[in-house]
Amino acid sequence: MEHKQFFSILQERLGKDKKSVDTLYSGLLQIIKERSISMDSVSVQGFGTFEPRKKLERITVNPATGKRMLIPPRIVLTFKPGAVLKNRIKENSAR
Amino acid sequence: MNAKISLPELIDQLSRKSDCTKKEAEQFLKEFFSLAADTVSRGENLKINGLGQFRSVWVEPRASVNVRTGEPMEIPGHYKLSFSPDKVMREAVNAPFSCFIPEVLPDDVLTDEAVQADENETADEAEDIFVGDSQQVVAETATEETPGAVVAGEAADAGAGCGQQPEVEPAAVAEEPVAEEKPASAHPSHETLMGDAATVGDDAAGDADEESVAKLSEEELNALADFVLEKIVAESMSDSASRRETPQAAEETASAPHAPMSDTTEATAPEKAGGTPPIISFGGDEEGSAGESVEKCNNEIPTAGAEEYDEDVYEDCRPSLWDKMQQRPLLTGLCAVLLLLLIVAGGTLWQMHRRGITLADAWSYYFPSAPVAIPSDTLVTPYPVETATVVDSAEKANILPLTVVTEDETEPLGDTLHVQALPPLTVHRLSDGDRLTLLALEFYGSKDFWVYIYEENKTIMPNPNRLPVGLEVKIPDPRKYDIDAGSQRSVDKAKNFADQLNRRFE
Repeated sequence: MEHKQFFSILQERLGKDKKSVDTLYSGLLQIIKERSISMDSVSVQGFGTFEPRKKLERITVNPATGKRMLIPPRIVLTFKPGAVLKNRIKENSAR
Repeated sequence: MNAKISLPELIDQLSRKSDCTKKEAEQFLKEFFSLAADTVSRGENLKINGLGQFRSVWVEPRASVNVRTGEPMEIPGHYKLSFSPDKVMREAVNAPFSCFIPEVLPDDVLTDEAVQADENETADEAEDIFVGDSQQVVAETATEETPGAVVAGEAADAGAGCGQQPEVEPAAVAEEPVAEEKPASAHPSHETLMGDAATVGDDAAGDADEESVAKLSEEELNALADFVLEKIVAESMSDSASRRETPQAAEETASAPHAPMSDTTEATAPEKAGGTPPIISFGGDEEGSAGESVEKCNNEIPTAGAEEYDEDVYEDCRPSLWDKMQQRPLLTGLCAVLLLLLIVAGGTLWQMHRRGITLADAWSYYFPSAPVAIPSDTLVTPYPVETATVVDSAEKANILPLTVVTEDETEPLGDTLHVQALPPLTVHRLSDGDRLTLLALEFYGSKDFWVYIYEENKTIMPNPNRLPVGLEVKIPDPRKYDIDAGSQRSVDKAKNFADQLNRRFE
């Protein structure tokens, strides 16, 4: 599902106009961003946890050229689905 | 750090951030995440701009072990949720480390991998040395053998040593020891046979025997050559160059020992010694080609190691050109030199153009005596380079403070400019609306002579097109620059000079 479709459904469910939904969403994004920058995580019951993780630097080999490269350390935002969501997905795949 | 907030706190923060009631925020968040969870659990992909993309990924069933009981079990295939953050989000989160970029490591940096490779190489080298030594030993035993004394035992020992030890050596490439063992063991037997032949030859009775021995060794050599040829063909199918070279070498070595044997009926020690070097060289050649094939293998190995391929990193770097350049150092060097020359030439020309120096000027600078048709006015210009010329060419002339006098005799054209130390005609204070051309018209009767006013005042006047009001401009004596409004030559000279100045201040 794409962004637009998702938000139109969300609007219907909430019964609000596009503008207020957008402001709320940008507020949510900002919170996640700020939390991530301070290396804190955001956990939502029934959905999952957004958590920034630090990845160490590493050396890889480019198979095309055989050159070795040093990949710098970085921080990535990871998402770990919660138990409820995980089970729902599993059930879905079992069916 | 590492603090976790859950939904209630999130609602609290959101209500504060978006200026709405807690109820609104709670409603929004619950609906948002429940809708997202619904979508995702249906197995659909969900893309939310600014946050990222949630994808369902199929995980193949795989065999595992029950941790408690140790019994083998199978984990059934299932869908897994994967999340990849949006570019904006990814960059925002990675902001503290954004200064780092992936870097190509130079080949000489030692890491675990590189150390391993080095060990392989040293092993190869050790083998090389060892083979060389054993051959030397063989050669020595051959030379030590005087016609009377056959040291078959020694030679046999050497042969045994040669035959065994390459097997013991740790080999980087599995095929290599086989290739080495064969020639190494073949040589000593050949040597002992030749040693036998020597004794027989000394007795001057066994000519026939010797011929048979010669044939034997010939056969042996041919067999060896064939073997090596096959080996090389099999090993380096792609390397046609080495394939072409080595068979030739093999043929040479096969024919070389044959020549002394047929020429002489008496096989003496020195001749034997003479017969051995080709074998050694043969061994060397074979070694070389083997080394080449090993190198080829090594080059191909990284291609196979595709495990750690990172698409993000290699998107924009496929430096095959660099590889090619490294393969042809001569061509690359030539190209680099040509490029450098071009850059230098271009830079010089550009600099000259910027300063308004023509090629003729430069020529006259480097070859002051050369009879080039130089425009006379080039002698007195505001540029340091040319004043240097003037000083050079007129070393004998009187050099007065502030001005330079050139003499007519030094210049064959006689067109030169008299720059004499004369006091300025007057000092004019610039007011608004004054132009150098107007001043020239006023004082000299022609607008074209403005250049000399500039020339006289260039130390205080950075740009003739922009005159600061209130500046006191010295108006030079017309005689100083040979100013004569009535003379066409004088006007032309001034115009030429003005052209140069204009080019400079464009």
